[in-house]
Formats: sequence, C-alpha cells, structure tokens
Amino acid sequence: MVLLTVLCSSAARAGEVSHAFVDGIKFYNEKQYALAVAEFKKIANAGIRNGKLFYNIANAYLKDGDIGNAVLWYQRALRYMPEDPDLNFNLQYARSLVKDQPEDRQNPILQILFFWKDMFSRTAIQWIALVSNLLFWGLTALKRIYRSGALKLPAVAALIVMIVFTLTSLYQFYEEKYVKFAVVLPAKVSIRSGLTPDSTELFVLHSGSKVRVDKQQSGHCRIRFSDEKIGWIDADDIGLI
Amino acid sequence: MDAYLLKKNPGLPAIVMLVVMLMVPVSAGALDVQAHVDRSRISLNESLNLTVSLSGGEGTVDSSSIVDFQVVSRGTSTRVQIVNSHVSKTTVYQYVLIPQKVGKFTIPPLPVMSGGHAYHTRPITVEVTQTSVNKADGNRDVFVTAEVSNDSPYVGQQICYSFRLYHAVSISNARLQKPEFSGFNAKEVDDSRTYNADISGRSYNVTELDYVLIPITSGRMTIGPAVLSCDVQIRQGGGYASPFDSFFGGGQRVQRVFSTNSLTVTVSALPDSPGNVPFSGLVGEFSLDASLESDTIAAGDSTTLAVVFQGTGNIMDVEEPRIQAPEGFKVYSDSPEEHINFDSRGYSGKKTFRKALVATKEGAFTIAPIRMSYFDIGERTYKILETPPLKLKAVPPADAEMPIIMETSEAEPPRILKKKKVEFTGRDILSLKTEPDVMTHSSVMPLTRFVVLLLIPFLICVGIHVACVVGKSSNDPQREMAERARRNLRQASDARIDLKEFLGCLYKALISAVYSRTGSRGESLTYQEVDAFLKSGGCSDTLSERASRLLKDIEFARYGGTEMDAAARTKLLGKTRQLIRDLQRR
Repeated sequence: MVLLTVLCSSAARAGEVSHAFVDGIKFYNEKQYALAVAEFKKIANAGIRNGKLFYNIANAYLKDGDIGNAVLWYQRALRYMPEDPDLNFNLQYARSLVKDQPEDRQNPILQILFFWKDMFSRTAIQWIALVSNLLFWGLTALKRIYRSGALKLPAVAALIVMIVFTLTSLYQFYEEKYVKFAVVLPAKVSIRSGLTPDSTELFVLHSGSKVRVDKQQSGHCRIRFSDEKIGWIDADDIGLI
Repeated sequence: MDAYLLKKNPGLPAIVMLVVMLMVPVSAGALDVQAHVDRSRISLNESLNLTVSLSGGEGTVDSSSIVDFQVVSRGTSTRVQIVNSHVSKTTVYQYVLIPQKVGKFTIPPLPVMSGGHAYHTRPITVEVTQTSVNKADGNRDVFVTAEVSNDSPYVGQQICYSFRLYHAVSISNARLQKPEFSGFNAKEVDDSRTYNADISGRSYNVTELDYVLIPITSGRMTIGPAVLSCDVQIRQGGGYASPFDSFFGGGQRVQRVFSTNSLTVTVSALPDSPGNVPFSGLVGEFSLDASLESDTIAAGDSTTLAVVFQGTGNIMDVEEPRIQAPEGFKVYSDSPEEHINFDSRGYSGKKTFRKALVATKEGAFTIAPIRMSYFDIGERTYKILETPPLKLKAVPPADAEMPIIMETSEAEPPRILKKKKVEFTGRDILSLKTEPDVMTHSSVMPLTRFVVLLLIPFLICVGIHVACVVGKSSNDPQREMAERARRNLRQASDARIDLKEFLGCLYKALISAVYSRTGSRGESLTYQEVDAFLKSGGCSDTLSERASRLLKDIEFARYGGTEMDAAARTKLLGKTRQLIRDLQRR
C-alpha cells in the first residue's frame, strides 16, 4: 500500500514536471518570459538539478531583462555542463551586458595547468578518476599475478591520470563546501563598510557581477569583488551559485 | 546673570532664550487648522494667496484636492510665541493659486495629517471674473508671455514653444514651472537667450526659454500656463523700483507669481502615403544623395556606397534604406553616422548610411536608384527623394595571390573573394534546450560514495596480493625446503643433543638447502649427487664442490664413528650455516 502511494505520488510529480516543461517552452516562444521562468523554476523546485534546465531558466531571465538572475542561472548550469557550447555562448553574451568590469582575473598559467577543471563536468571528472583508479589497480594485480613487465608503463599512466583527477575531484568537494561564489541581483547595489544601512558606501556593483562570499552574518554577506574591493551586502541582493 | 559673562558674551541672553524655548514643552492639545485667502474675488489673469496655519502641533497639508486652480507652493514658515511661560508654535503653509477659467469655485477642505489623525480646513469660495482691463504691456514692470511657432502642425512636425520674461525692474530668485506638454515630445533648448526689447517706448530686459515640441498624436492639444515666481524689488512707498533703486538700496523685495496664458495647438494627422514609394518616416524638409567611393574596383575588392539624408526635421528617425545591389556583389552594412544639431528651430543635420559592396565577379554594373518619400511641411504633401543610378565596374584583380578563388563549374569564370573577418550582424542568445533529459536529475556523486568506489579496487588488489603470497607459501618447494633447512640448523645449534643427532640435523639441513636451491623436494642425496645436482641447477663449480665436500665430511663423521669435541661441533656447524647461507643467496 505504501509502495503504491509512493509510486502514485511519484507519477503525479513527473506529470507536473512534464506539464511545467511544456508550458515553459510555450510561454518562452510566446515571449511571455516571466511566465516561462515561473514554469521552469517549478521543475527546479521539484528537486531536479540539471544543467539544461538551469540554462533554460537563465535564457528566460535574460529575455525578460533580468541580467543578474540570468548570469546566476548560467553559472549554476556551468557546474553541470561546462563544455556546452550553447551555454558558453549565451553566458558570454550575458556577461557583455554586465556593467562592471571584472577585476579578479584568474591566473592564466593556472588555467592552462588545470585546464581539465573547466573542460569536464564534475560528474565526468569523478568518473575519470574512478575508471583510472580501477585501471591502475587492475593492472597492478595482473602484473602481480603474471609478473609481466609490459604492464608497468600502462599502470604508471593510469596512476598519473588517477592522481590528477582524484585530486581535482576532491578539490571540487572542498570548493563546494567552503568556497562560495555569488552573483549580484539588483540593477545597482551599494557595498558598504558594515552591516547597517548608514555604513559608508565603499563601491557600487551592478546586476550580473560575480563575487566571492567570504562570510555570512546577520542576513548580510561579506563579499570580495577583487583583492582590493571587499565589503558587506544584504544577503537578499545576491544569489549563491 | 553674571555681569562679567554678559559683557564678554553679548549674545548670551539670546542663546539662553532659545534654549529655554526649545526645552519648554509646546502646549499640547488638539491641532488647530485654519485656512484663509487674501482675496475672494480675482480676475483670470491674477492669482491669490492661500495660507494654511497649523497651531498646537505639527502636520502635513495635502493640497492635491484643489483642481480648479494651478497650485504653486511658496514654502513653509514656523512661528513660536511665549506668553506668560506658555509656548505656542504655529506652522504656516503658503500657496499661490492661479485660476484656470472663469466662474465661482470652492477650495475644498484640505486634509491635514497629524499623529495619525486627519484634520480639515474649512471650504473657501472664490470667484474668478473675466480678465480685468489690462494695463498695456508698456505700463507693466514685469510680465511673462508664451507662444508657439506654429499652432497647427502635423504629427511629427517640430514646433517651438517660447517662454519670455519681460522685466523693467530688478528681479531675483526666479523659478519657472514649465507646462507638462502632454501629447508632445518636448526638449528644452539648452541655451536661454537674453536681449533687450522696446515696448511702448519702455525698455525691457527679456529672457527667452525655448522648447522644441514634436506632436505625438493628432487632435486639439492644450499647453497649460507656465508659472514663474520671483522676488521683485518695489519702492518703500509702493510701486515697483527701478533697477537703480536696488543699487542705492532704495527698495524692498516681495515675492510675486506670474503666469502665461494657456495655448491651444491643433495637431493634424499626416495624410495617407501614396504607397508606390516607401515612406521614410521623415517629416520636415530633406534631401537625399548617394555616392560611391570608387566606381572602378578589382574583383574581390570592395567600395563604399554612402547614402546621405540631410535636412531639417526628425532626421534621426530615418531608417536604413533598402539597397538593391546588382548580382555579383555582396553587401555589408556599417553603423550609420549622425551629425545632428539641435536649436530653437528643432533638429537638423545629416545621417549617413554606408555599405561596403564587394565584387564577386568582373563586369559593369548599375546600382538601382534609391527611392523614399517624406512629408514636406512647407508644401504639406509627400515628396519623393531619389538618387541617380550609379555605375560601377569590376576589373580583374592585379594581385591574384591574395584573393581566394572559389571553384565553380567550367562554364562560369572563377569567382574571387577576399577573406573578411566575420562580424556579428545581430546579437541574441541561442535557443532553449528542449530535449526530454532536461527533466532528469543529474546528481553529483557524494564524497563518501566517491571514496568508497576509489577504495574498492585497491582492496581487491590487496586481496589478490595476499592470496598470491599465501598460495605461494603453501605450494612452493623452494620455500618449504628452505624452511626445513632453517629448522634443522636451529635444532643442530642446541648443545643438549648428542653427536649422532647433531650430525643428522646438519645432514638434513644441508640436503634441504640444496633442494631449496634447485626448487625441488627430496630427502637424501650422496655427496656426488650434490655436486652434479647443484651444477645442473646453475650453481658455480666452487659452491657445488664446497657443498659436496662438506656433505662428505658430515657423512664421514656420521657413519665413521669419529669423536668430536664441542669446538669441532661448533666449527662444523659454522661451516654448514655459512654454506647454507651461500646457497640461499642467489
């Protein structure tokens, strides 16, 4: 009986999700972008995490003129499909509409050395680590059984791949837990020296700017736009990626 | 008060008074709200002052319910009175009301909000009569006028609204409240003009402000009065002062409000376009010209076609003309270039559209005339703008290495194109993703599962290794024989055993070491067999002979009945141990 109830509720939820998906596409094509956002977000609120879904939400937000939320959802989609050409094209376009010039540029040498981090999705990196790990230990076992020197070179290659991707994957777990990035949502927001509204305005950010969240306290976040530009912002004015 | 202090600070009594006034509580009680006007009968070109007084508290006055008059706020003042230690405070709101039409009107009760309660003033009736016999302009010291350059324009035709302030006496603090210009796109001309005018023999300073108005819709539009408030200098004995009075300090300033008359503008819709030529959307007076940068180019090269619209009117609204390029040309648009002036006559200037024409084959070509129509306000009709046909010749390229020759059929000559950087001609985002997998959950593996999956192959590998080690140790004769050699050697080391047993252990230890060396099992060997056995197993001759000799010595002692003292036993044991060690060392 319990199983039947679970199955029924699951089927009903799947129907709602499908309905929301079809309606979202319909509203988008009819240029009713706010309604399209609402429908697509119903799917996300149902617990579905999917890069393509986040991409669609971002598209609808961008068409609706909400640059902040568009960049936020594109960034969220990027975690699931960093290699997707459509996503990268649209994100680049959305970034071109952001008023603030990014100042915290990533070190190009690190980008080259750790190119795979932005090339593969998290799931892909995890599976590469697992498969190379399996390969390495499999080859090691065969070498032990058959005492064959020919297996040594493939085993070393698998070991290198396994170490690189395992460490990358573990760093991504660390990044997910401890390194928070966010996107500014309002068209214009003041970054202040303290938590109160009368604190000194340090600088102004506009919608779509990406910031790093250092600390959260009393409904406010201390954010870092660059090494020199740090300040407090209302937590409601940013969306965590 | 100390006389010394008073002498040192002559302003001290005033400061103390002020502090006392601020500290003494203002008399509490219900708010007393009063409203009155300075005149209850005015003519259409006059204004009246409305004063709202709030006593016994503070509040805010809402004047939005006055609809029959234009309301201009003149600010707020506060008066504090102390009578027999009783402090009362009165706040006065002042307004200037300008009538809009003739009739009898009521200023409605004005709501005053104070401490969450609403108080109301009493209604006041005012009668507005026809304009009284004006003084001739030349007899007035200050007055304002407004006019439009054309009171019957077409939709899209620009007209000029001019506000003029005439003053023959000194004025200051002038503030203008311009009309709303409903139904028009209005833009103020930045530079106001100041000049002198002679009216009825009297010299006036004139300040003129201009607004360019472009009607948006057709119909009868009313432009409300413009209201100017300023401080005017008057003589002490009444009447306005001359500009020289202020210089000599012979007058005082009073605030006055002046308003212009409302203006009516009748806007006509544009007549229907003839339709045979596309309407450019331009209203005004315009010309059109087109020219080529070069009329002879090499195939693969480009030339620029410039189409220039020029004139007075909404030149900025002209859209890019459609150009029919001859076959054999590719057309690339450039951003239009605008040079637009704005003054009291409105917008004027020119807008240039440039297109790069790239010849893809040789030959003589003609660019068809560009035709567009506009509405000419001078002649009140549509007129057609047309460029002359332009001749263009594409010759073979001088340098055949630069262009890329595109392969075509044999019948056609090869087409030649230069490589060009591809530019965006429009910007938009790519479309939605509509695959069904949008609705599937793509979860990221949790850390614990990831670590467990990493450890499983490692553990399996370790298991295999252990199995190998265990399996090998149980079946390997080499290991078994070596273990037996060690065991017998250890037994032989025991001093409590007798000689026979000692020699038996040495024999077994040596034989076991020999078998271990050759990787086989066995119990006994003669010293001749040992030599041959070891040599066949790859041992050196020296080692084989050493082993054979030692075995011979042991057998001789074992079966020959030779007595051995403890030192001889130790020496033989040492030789045997060393040999076994050498045999096990590969």
